[in-house]
Order: sequence, then structure tokens, then C-alpha cells
Amino acid sequence: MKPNQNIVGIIIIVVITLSVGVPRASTLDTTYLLKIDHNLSADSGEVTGVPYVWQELNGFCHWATLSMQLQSIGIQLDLAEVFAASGAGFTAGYVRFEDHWAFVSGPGYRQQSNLDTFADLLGFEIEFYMDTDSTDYGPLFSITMNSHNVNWTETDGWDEAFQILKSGIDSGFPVEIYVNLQNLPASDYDLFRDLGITDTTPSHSILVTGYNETSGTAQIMDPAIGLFDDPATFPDDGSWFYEINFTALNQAWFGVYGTAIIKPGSGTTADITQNLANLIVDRLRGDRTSYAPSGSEDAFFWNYGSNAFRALATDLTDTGLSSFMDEFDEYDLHTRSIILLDLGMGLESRLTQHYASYRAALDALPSVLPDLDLQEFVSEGELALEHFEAFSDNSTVNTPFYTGGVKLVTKTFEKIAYQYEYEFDGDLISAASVYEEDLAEIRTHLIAIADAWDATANALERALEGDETTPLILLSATAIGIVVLAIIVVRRKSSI
Amino acid sequence: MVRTWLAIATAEFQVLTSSMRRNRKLYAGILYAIALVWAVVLTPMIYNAVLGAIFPMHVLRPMLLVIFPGLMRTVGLFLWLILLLFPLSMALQEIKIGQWEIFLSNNVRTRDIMTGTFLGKMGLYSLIIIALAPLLISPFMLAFEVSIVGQLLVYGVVTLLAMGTIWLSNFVTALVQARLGESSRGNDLAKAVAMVVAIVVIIPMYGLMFFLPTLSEMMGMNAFLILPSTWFSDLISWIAITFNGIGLTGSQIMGFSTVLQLDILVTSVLVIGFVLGTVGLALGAADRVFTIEAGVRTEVVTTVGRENVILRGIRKISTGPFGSLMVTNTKDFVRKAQNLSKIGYGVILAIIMPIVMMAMDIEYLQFSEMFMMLIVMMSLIGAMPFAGTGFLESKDQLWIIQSAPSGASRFVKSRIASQAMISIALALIPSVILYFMMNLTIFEFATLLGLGYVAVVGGMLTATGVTARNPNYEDTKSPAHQANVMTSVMIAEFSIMGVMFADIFLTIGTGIDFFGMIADFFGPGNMMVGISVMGLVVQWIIAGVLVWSGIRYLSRPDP
Repeated sequence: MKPNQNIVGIIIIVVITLSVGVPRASTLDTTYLLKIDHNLSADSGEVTGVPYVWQELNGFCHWATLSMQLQSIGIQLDLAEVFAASGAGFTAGYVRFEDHWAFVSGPGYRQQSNLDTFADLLGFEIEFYMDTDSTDYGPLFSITMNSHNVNWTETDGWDEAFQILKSGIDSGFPVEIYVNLQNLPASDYDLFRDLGITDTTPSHSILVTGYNETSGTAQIMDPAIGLFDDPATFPDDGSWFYEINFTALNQAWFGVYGTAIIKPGSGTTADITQNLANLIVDRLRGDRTSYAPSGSEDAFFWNYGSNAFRALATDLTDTGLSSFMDEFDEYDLHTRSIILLDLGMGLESRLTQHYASYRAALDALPSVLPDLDLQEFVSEGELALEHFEAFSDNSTVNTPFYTGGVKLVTKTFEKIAYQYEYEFDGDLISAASVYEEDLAEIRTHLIAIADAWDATANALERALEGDETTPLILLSATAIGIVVLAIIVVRRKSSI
Repeated sequence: MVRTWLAIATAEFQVLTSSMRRNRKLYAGILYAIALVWAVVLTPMIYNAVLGAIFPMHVLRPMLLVIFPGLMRTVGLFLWLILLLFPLSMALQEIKIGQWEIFLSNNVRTRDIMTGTFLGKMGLYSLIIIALAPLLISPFMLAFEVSIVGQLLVYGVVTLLAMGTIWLSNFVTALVQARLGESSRGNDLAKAVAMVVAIVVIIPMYGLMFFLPTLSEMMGMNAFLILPSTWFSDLISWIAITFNGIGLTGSQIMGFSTVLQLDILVTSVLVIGFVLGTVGLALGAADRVFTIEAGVRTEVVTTVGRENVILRGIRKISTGPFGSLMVTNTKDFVRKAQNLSKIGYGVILAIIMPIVMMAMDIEYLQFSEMFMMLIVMMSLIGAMPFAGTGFLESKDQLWIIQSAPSGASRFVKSRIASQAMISIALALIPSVILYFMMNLTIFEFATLLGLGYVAVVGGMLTATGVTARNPNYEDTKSPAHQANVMTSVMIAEFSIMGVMFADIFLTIGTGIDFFGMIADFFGPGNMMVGISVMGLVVQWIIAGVLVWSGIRYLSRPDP
């Protein structure tokens, strides 16, 4: 009996000793060691050594630029890791109200306010600048920024905006600016100039790394170069770095003179694992407060996270499509048919965009949160991938004038639109019912994604609980060990 | 067996409609018809016309749809607390168990009394609900285009909410009355409890007053789910959504279900369960609540101990009758639980407002801007505990005082002295709490405490003067008491605020910038302090006149 008790005690002690693991390294450990250089002279400034990040897919320019900026202040996160660490890859929104029907991918959802959350999480500083008074899109941007509770500093015209850009670079920080495409000199954008596009909406993010007042030029790192090639190709010829003269820069920028500068802050806090994992759980499950913290969480026409996919599935029926098309009664049948095609194209392109960011984020999260055992999380999350694959088509995002019709969503919408216009003379319910099986297949995939997201959130929560309970288990195991030892000692003494 | 509850209900109804005499059935019928027309026809028509003139419905609709569930929850909570706690608070002001004891001595069961009195009053309650509920609900019914069946169900749930709550309130009131009735100590305690109950009502009222969603933000949507009022409110929302005529899509209904969190089935079960539960609980427990025999609670044991340091200090400093009067007055005031609860009430009032304002996260709100509001609240704290009660116990006491040389004057002065002593605590407690909560500087704290004390004493003087002019003795139910409290609080607050209004009117009227002058005199950023100081001067002048005339009134021989 006595040797057995001894063995139990020893086993417990060995278990306690072994369970104390070796700490692992995280990409989030930010010491803000600046690995870049910057050169200054009287009339020019330049930040060099900023690693280039290609955006890979249309719609990721802001995140690629952000990755470059973060790496320039010592936070080593590539594009996939940015999607993971910001929660953007695990974020999805869906809105359906009156004549508005859209799926919003994680990288496209509330970029500025999510950046604020990201900055709080990783402890860096972010400064936004906009000219909302004298620019075409200023009023619209100010409404959006206000409604999302994002603070910015008001600037006035080119002179002030350029001063901010200059002082950012002079302090050693590359500057993100929001521009239109047709005024950027790269040949990739000839297409937009040939089309005669004059709209100044800022639709792209680029990184300005230098300026020279004597030559009147600025240096740009453009994450989108090679994106419109067929197929989209990484610009390994270095064409992503080019110069722009001040006149063109002003014309590209003056939609709102939007500017963002990232600076080192207080650094990551001890509970980053906990906070980030909780954020991701909330995003996957579609917690309304996490998605719309500024008091708009009651906006019932928005659905988030896993519910975004479920809600889209709910509306993708013959009656759902028909009630949407009722909003366009005043248009002729041909136009309505085009609206229907556009809807399919919009849904597929956003789902494609979302698929890419989700897959990248899922893959990258274990390296971002090395303290957690994410094996189960990743395997649950991967269950969604094959369903995304069913309607993911990079051409819907990257290729101008592409009309789809290859993958499930656009193919189905193309068929329904044809029936709607030519066979059923505007009777959408009848047209859609012909392809009910295809719609049902889309719904099945969407619901499978939603279920996978819920399961992934549960797995992450379990991983987090495991992390939390480890010290508790250790503590109780220690206590049990001490009690067992005490019993052994007391028994031995009494037997003597 | 005779249905006792029915007899009681009939009697209750007849008492209620006694002013209509013989035509009560006809009149009651007409009233109900008018109320129904008002609810179903007139209110929607008026709203449609008014809203249509300001905003077209297609512009207003998205907003109404979005705010509906949250607003329902807040209003539901508010309604629930009012219906639950105000009757309780009112009943506690004056315990009446005599009537119950007459019932009980005639072999009537408590559950019959409760059911009877409740059903008798139900007619009136439902009339009030039918008249008031459409004012709130109609715009949303218009926005959701709820069908007639849906609307009837919505009003049904509102009625159920009100009835269920009144029933519960009746039961709790009866329970509290039964426990606290009879003894004078119990009565005093009941009044103290009434004040505490009122505070619970005040908090959501402040929330409503400032901004409706603030309350939701403070509590969080999840915290709402455990409140029965939320189940009723959510059921109303669900009915409006289910019976909507605007073609809500599947995803929108799904959105609502994630906003509301519980589905219509669970919500309905909770509502019905709650109503049945409270009815069952009350009926089951009713007969155990009342005991007719006088029990331990009526016994009062008086123990006399040594006076504390402060009271002995007063006697030492002022050895004459003034000191004795001060000691007696202080003891008399502090001994009563009712007075202490009034002080607590005032203090909580003074600190709730800054808390709510801070919870709203108003960035531009500075201490200097809130200063005047705090001073006004402090004068309220000073006025309320000393208005009406704790002054003269009876006419006999007044005659004794009048019989002494300059008795009234010395009595009032000693009252003021002891009350000024108590006022130190009244100014100190909120100042210290606000010092920590608002991270005040030492200078700001000193200003708040100093001017706050002046405001508390100003309020106290006003209350003493008003009460001396119109003594209501110990009767807190008398109109004189209500008038005293209202007059004291109004004079104390408006004498300070009046200065600001006067400044505004003078600035507009004469074109001279009075605010600028005040800012010049007291220094930039201290304008509110300046106005407060001027307000306090005015308050003290008015208070001085009131005290002087009060003394003169008390000295007058009884006509």
C-alpha cells in the first residue's frame, strides 16, 4: 500500500513539472525596432527599406498598405497575418433593405473603425486626416467616419495635406493616402484613362515613401501593380515603386485628401491573446456590439458573422429575389434583368474576396497566437473552405468587364435573368423556380459556411478556455500533490 | 358560497364611479367607446397627419423600425417600475391597514380582498392604458403597417403588462403594509422605505430624461433580458414584426431575432409564465400575510443611553436653554428614519446626474459647466429634509414655545443652528463623492464644498422659513406638508437659477452682455461659479426674509 502512495505522489509532481511548457514566439511581440532608414535634405525626404506587400486581390489595397506601414514600425505582419490579427478575415456583413442588397466582405467592412480597434489591440497609434469641407467626397466621408465613431484631423486643401505628408515622411513614417486610379501614372491604369473616367472618388490606397520639392515629385509603393494583368501577376520587375509628379498626385488625391499615418504606441499588452481571440469569436458568431459598437447594433437589416451567410441564404429564394426586384418597378424589363445580373456578380465578387481573406487569416492565426492550441480551430475552419470554393472566382474581382457565369452564383443568376427577360416576361418567381435546385445548392453552401463559422468560434473559445484553465488545473494538481504527500508523511510517521 | 371577491369588486367599482351616481354603467360605456375610438382611429390619424407633414413615412420608417425594439425595452422598464413602485411608495407614505382588519375580522379571506380590490380597479386601469398606450405605440404601428389583429394583440400585451405589474405591486404593497403597519416605529420605517423605493424609480427616469439609448448602453442589451418588463416589450416587438404589412424579408426578421435574442415562442412562454406565476404566488401566499393579533412589532422599548460627544459638546459650549433646544432638536431629527432616508435621497439625487452625464460620455462637459447644476442640486438637498417635517410636533408644543419669552425666535434660531450642523454632512458627502468620481482638483473641491455648504444652508433656511409660516406638524399626508415641500424646493432652486434667466433676459433685452461682465469679474472659465455666487446671494436674501416672517408668524397668538 505504502509504495503505491509514493508512486502517486511522484507521478503528480512529475506531471506538474512537465506541464509547464516552453514559451513560444509571436509575430505580435512588438519592440518597435525600426528596421528602415530615412534620408532628409532641405527639400526632400525619403523612407527607405520598407518591405513591399502585394495586395493579391482587388479590394485588399488598404490592408496591403497597412502591412507595409506596420512592418515599417517593427510589427512584422504580412498580409495574411494582418487579416488574422485584425479579425478582418473572420468578419462578414450582410445588408438587405429596400433596394439595397449586399454581402460585405471582412476586409471591406468599416475599414477605418476596425483599424482603430486593431490599433488598440496592438498598441500602435493611427492618425487620420481628411479635408471634408472643400473636397467632392468630404461630406460623405465625414458622415461615414462620424457614424462609425472614428476621429480625424481636418485639413484644408493641397498645401496642408502635403505638409502632413511631408512631416510624416520627415519623421520616418511612410504615409498611406486614398486616391483615384486614373491619375496614377503607372501603365496598369491606362485602362481607366482610356475609358475617360473622371470621377475622383478615392478608390485605392497607396503608400507614399518620399518626396522631392525641387523636382516636384513623390515616390510611391503601389500594392496593386500587376493586379489587372491576365492572369494577375506579382510585379517582380520592381514596377510597384514609381514616381508621381505633384500635379498628378494632387488630382489623384483631391477626392478627400484622405491620409493615414501609423506610428509606434504603447505596444502590445499582456492580454492580447485573450482580447484578440475574443474579438475573433465575436466576429465569427456575429456579435452585434462587436460589429456596430457606435449604437447602430439594432439595425435589424444588417446580419453579421455566421448569420450573414444564413441571412443571405434566407433571401436567396424566388420570393426573396422577387421582393428585391419589386423595388425597381419603374425600370424596363431589360434594365431590371441587368440589375439582377449585377446582384449576382456583386455577391460572387464579395464572397470571393471574403474567401481569400478568410483562408489566409485561418492559415496565419496559429503564428499570430502561438500561445493557443489552434489545431481544432483550424480544422473546423477549413470545413468552410470547400463551400466557399463553390462560388469563388478571382476574375469577378480582378478582371475589368468580366461578367462571370463560370461559378455557381453568377451562373445561376445568368440563367434566371435570361428566363426572366426572354421566357417569362418579367415573372421572376416563375423564372427563379426553374432554377430552384441551383438556388438551393447555393443556400446549402452558405448554411454550411455559417455552421462551420459557429463551430470554429466554439473551437476557439475552447482553445481559450484551455489556456485559461491550465493554471487552474496546475494549481489544483499542485494542491492534490501536496495533500497526497502530506498523507504519506503522516501515515509514515504514525506507522513508526 | 357567496363569491366574496365579486362583492368586494362591485363595491370597489361603485366607490370608484360614485361621482357618476345612477348612470355609472352608461357613462362607463361611453368612456370606453371614446377610448377605443381614440386608440384605433384618432391617434393613428393624428400621427399620420402630423408625421406626414414633417417627414414622409418612407423617410421616417427605417428610423422607427430600428429604434422600436430598444425603445420598447426602455419604456417597458420605465412603465414596469412606475406601476410597480409608485403605488408602493404612495402606500408606504401612509399605512392603512384598518380597512383590511375590518375585512379580516369578518371572515373574509385575504385572497378575496386582493382579487376583489384588484378587479374593481381594473376597469379604471384598462381605461387609462387604452388612452395612453396608443400615444407611444401608434407611430410604430404605422411604420410596421401592423394589421388590425396584430394591433389588438399589441394592446392586449400592453394591458397584460400593466395588469400583471399592478397585481404584483398590490401584493407587494399589501405585504409591506402588513409587516410595517400599526406601530409608529413601523410607520416611520415605512416612510423611509418609500423614499428608497422612489430612488429606484428616479434612476431610469433620469435615463429617459437625458437620452433613451443611454440607459440601454448603461445596462447593455443582455442585461435587459433578465427583466420581466423586457419579455413583455419583446413580445410587443415580435407581434409588430410578425404582423407587419411592409414585407419584411427573411433576413430582416433574422436580424430582429439577433437584436432581440429570444424568439417569439420563448418570449411568450416567459410572459405567460410570469403572469401566472405572480397570480399564483399572490393567491397562495395571501392568507399567510396578515395576522390580526398585535405581535412583537407593535412593542416599543425605549432605552436611554449617554449622549454622544457632539451633543455633550453643544451642551458645554451653550449651557443655557439655547443649547438644550439644539440638542433636543438634533436628537429629534436624527432619530427618525424618515429624515435620514430623505437625506440619502437628496445625496443620491445630487450625484446621479453627474454619473448619468458621465455615462453618456459627453466630452465637452466640463466641471465648470456643471458647477451651477451641482449647486442647484445641493440647495435641493438642503431644502428637502427640513421642509415640512421635523419642525413642530404639535400645536401643544407651539403653545409651550410661545409661552416662553421670545420663545418662537429662540426656537427657530436653535433649530437653524442644529440644522446648520447637520448640513455640514449634507454638503460634505456629495462633494467628497464627486471629488473622487470626477477627478476634481483640490481647488475645485474646495469651491464645491464651500459654495455647496452655502447652498445647503440656503436651502435649509428657505425650508425652515416656509415651514415656520405654515407648520404642518407631523402630518406628512396633509396638503400643508406637500405645499411646504414644493414651495421650499422651488424657492431654493429657482432663486439660484432665476439669476441666470434674469441674465439671459437682460442680455437680450438691453443688449448689454451680462454674462461677459460676470466672466470679467470672476475670471474666464468661472462664469458658472459667478452666476452661482450671485444666485446664492439672492437665495440667502429670500431665505432671510422667509425666516424673519416665519418667526413673526409663530410668535403670533393663535387666532
